[in-house]
Amino acid sequence: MCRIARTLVAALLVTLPGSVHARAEIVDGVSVVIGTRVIKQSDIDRDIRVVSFLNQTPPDFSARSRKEAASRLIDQLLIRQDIQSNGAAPAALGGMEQLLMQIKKDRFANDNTQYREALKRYGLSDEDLRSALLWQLTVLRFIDQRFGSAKAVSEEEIEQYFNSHRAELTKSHPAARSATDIRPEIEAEISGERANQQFETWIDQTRKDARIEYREESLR
Amino acid sequence: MSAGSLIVRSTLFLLVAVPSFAQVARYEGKQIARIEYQPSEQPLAAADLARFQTLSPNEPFRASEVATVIDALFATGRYSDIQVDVRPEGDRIVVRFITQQTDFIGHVDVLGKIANPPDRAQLVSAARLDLGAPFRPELLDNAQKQIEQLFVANGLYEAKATLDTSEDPHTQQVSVNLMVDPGYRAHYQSPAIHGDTRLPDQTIIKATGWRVRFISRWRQVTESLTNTGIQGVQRRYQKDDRLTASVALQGQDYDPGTRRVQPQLEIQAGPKVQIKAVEAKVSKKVLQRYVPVFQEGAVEEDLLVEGARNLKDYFQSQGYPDADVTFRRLPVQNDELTIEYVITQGTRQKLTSVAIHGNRYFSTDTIRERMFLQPSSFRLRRGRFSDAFRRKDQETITSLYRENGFRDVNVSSQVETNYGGKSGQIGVTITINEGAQWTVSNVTLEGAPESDEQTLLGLIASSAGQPYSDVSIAADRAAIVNFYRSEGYLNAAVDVSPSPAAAPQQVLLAYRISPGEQRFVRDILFSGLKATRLSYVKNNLFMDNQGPLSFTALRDSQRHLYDLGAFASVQAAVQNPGGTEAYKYVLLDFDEGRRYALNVGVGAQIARIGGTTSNLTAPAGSTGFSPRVSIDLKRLNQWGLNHTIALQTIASTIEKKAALSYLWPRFQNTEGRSVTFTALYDDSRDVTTFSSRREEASIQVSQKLSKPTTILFRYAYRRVTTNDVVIPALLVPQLLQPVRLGIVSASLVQDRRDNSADAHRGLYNTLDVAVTSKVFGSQRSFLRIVGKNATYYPLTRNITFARQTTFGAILPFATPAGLSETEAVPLPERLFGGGNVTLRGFPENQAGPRDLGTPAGPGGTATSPTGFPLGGNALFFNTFELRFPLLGENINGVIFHDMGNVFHNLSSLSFRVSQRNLQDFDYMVHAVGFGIRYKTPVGPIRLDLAYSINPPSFVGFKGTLNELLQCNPNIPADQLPSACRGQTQNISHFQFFFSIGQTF
Repeated sequence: MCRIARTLVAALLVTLPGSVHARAEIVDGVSVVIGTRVIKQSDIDRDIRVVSFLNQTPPDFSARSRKEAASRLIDQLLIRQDIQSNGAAPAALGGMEQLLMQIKKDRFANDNTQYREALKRYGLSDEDLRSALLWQLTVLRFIDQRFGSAKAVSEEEIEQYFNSHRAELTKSHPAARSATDIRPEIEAEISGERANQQFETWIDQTRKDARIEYREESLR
Repeated sequence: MSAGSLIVRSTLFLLVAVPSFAQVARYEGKQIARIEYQPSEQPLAAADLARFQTLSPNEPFRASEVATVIDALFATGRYSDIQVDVRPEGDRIVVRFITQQTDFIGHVDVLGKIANPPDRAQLVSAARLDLGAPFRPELLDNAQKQIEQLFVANGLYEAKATLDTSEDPHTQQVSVNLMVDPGYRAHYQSPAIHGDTRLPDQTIIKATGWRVRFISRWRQVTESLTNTGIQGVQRRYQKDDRLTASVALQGQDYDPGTRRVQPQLEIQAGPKVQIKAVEAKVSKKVLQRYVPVFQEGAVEEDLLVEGARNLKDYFQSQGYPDADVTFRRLPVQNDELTIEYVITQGTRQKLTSVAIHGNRYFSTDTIRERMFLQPSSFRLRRGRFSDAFRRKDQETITSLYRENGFRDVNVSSQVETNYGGKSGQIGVTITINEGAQWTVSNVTLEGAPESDEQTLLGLIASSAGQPYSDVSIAADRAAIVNFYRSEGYLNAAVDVSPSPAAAPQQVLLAYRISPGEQRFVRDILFSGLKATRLSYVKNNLFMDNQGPLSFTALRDSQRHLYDLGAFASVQAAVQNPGGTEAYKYVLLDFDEGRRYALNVGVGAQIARIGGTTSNLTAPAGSTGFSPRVSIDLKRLNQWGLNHTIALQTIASTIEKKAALSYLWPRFQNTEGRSVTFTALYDDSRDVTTFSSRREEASIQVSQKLSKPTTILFRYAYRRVTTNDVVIPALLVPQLLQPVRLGIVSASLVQDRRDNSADAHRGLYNTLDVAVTSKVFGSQRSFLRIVGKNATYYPLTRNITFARQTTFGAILPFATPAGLSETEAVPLPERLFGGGNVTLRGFPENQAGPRDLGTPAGPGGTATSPTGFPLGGNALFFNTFELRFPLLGENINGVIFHDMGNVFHNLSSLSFRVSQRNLQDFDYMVHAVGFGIRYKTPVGPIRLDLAYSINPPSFVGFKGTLNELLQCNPNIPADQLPSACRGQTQNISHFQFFFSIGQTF
């Protein structure tokens, strides 16, 4: 126990300067550089909080979590650049409002006070959440428009998909006896997979082409 | 894991991870005492830093504001890292921005021995270090790799290249030094040839040109020679009609032991391609010109289709309006692929009429001069007609009307065969339905400051009452954008919205201007200057520190600096071009040219240069040979001010010349003005009669008045000595004494030729007026005027008619006692003519008056006539030339008529065509002839053969100088040696000339 106490004291000593304001403290800074754009520590913090809020988990500011958030933000920044260079419009505000109302209804029984308190606990503002939701919808639309396949799904592909996912499909669609019974659902699945695959390929290549520099100290 | 360690880890997690938000939240709303920067010297200009820093002392701290500032600062491109910390100070806090700056690429210098190729410019280019771009260390690795590849491509396999850098912390510029050691250059060896070649290896090797012919020595490797070699093989296959042959360099194997490179060639010869025309006769030359398969080296469908279209146009332009061309590809047989163009010519027609109806706004002539269709004429026997031309003309006329506000214009055309009831004739009628003309009712400018409005209205072409057209609007938009961009608004944009006005066919124009942010020059940074003075460069710039940043001014400065001639290259760039800061560094990087230039020339003159002092048998000159050596040495960029000191020397058996000159360009910092000081020594014998020595000092001021017009003022002080005079009459001591001349002259040169070496259109005028007088320190007084006017007319694309008239006169005044007006002008100062640039009916300088045996002094007895040319005080020459293609692209022909002569004086100038007697030289000599011009990069090589229709005859002496001296004029003629009796001679009817450059 004595050892535990000593360790605790040591840990407190290490972190004490930051918590008692004796020295200057870093409050923000560059964490990742992508060309002439940056992802800041504050961007990573906000992303972690938003994701935690939406997933209803406690915010995890560990180095691993920060790196994951940075990686997500890099993808988002590359998407944002592509959207800007192609002049694509953001998602409609109506969609965002609908999504927010759904969250309020499901989690806070439409009680705005509860909602605001939850946001406060996560260190977020209403505007932070609205921006995040709007951005998520914009990204989904971007993927759909940019990578949604115009190529028709063939009968052979539908049959093949049904056979290889028979167990899951009959579970989710008990009435389905053959691929023809759930053809639209399978078609949507295959198209979605194609879009995801193309998006993955595109984002991998874009990341390779972009000059990305990490400021490791700020990600620890 | 024990429970205790779990607790510790959990605690540490909480203590370390959570504060990142807790700390920031703690400072939210606290008052800021001050804002600091580390380092204190920031890469942004103070004005920019103040603009982007939105946190302020005595204001509450907002974390979101910090994030905004970081984003804004980073977007300037001048930072590579920014961290922000906060420390308490009493009740308030101090916010500190800890920054790292971005560096930018500056001057790239090449040090060490440069084995050309690659030359310095190629090395710098290969490094791909773009001036003003952000610098990253990995760029150096890439540069090194590229340079090593360049060395290898040029056979320098042992070359070494290292790069190091130095940084200027104030401007963030990083200079790069590239140190090179080229080592030995490898030689080629016999290439390894793979594939289906269909040619013997020796033929392929010969086509590469990698081995020196006859001595079989392999050449040194260069990238250019390697590429030329590959192209040579490709051409060799094309010569064999294997148009689809592919020749690829697969690699080059280097053997360090022998320092030899073996190129690996992969060749696929492909079949022979025969392109034929069937059902009509078409020469191979025409097929090669119009079927792009030959140029592209590929037999592809689209090229064959284009060939058919081109051939159809060709036949239509030759008078076959109904021509139709298709093609078919026959199967490959016996290693041969045949493409047949099937040509249905139809009846040959002549375009006899092009009628234009319905035009009211434009005259018929205005429309015609823009059209391709042309009725038959002397120049175009069958006229010019094709469907393509007809369509093009309709489009041209439509555009012409639309550009002038006729938005609803409709142009149609109709072709009438058997025009005028005659078969084989066609007529085209163009019908124009003009429609109403739309005009501008009013113009408004929105978004522009009021102070700019008058300037902008002066710039734009659209105004009330003017025709409304898209072309004018586009031009107006460009003019407005250019105006703002030249004022530093680099992202200026203009949106034009036309709307109908109250009156019919009238439009209201509203120009909405968005100037955007203005950019300024923070400072101009110069690099690469070693000898050139900075002040000299600054005086030649069109932009100022702190002034608006204009790319137009930057480009103009760069072009102007390069045109000064002091620099091998001038690069201009803006540091960090993509950054958002308003104040930007402008970079000018120089590569100074060589300081010395040495040219040594060895050659010979072959011409009629005979007539020596020991042999007087050829007063009309005889073909002679004169070896010649010339050495020119120049010291460039003297004093770092781009002045030039030049020493030019020529030594030959007929001329010895040395000229030392000092050229001061851009005198008094005035564009187009230069001053030249010259000291000259010239001892020449370009006239058979005598040799002359000139010692001269001169000063000349030249001023370019406009692009084609230059004026020159000159003062020359010269000592002229006449030597080796062959004519006894001129041996009078008074005439042989050196004469001092002070000459003031002015020249006007107007040059509007399209190509000064081989003009096809334009004009060239010169007027030179000179006065020598006591006032200028001269021992003789006369006025000399020489004027020249040349014009060039293109009759067709390849045929040019050119003419030139030259007139000159010397008018002596204040003649010294004892000298006639003719004698008052020293022999070397008289007007001479005849020869390849003046009058081809004469050998060089043989025109005009000749020695008739003039009395030696007043009342003296006439000496024996020698017949040598004496020059005159007036000249007139006129030349007509018709220049036309003769053989292929490079050999042209000329037929010419020259007329003129040199005359005793202005009053004796006559257009008479016959010589009255053997003492009469004041008449017009006419010559006609034919010439050949072979085009070279330095101008055409010229061979002219002239036939003089009425060359002069004269009495000349045949003998030596000693024999001539024995001919005492006081001894009776019948007692004189027979040699003293003059013999009738004449200038040959035939003359030939061999030289470089057109006649004029």
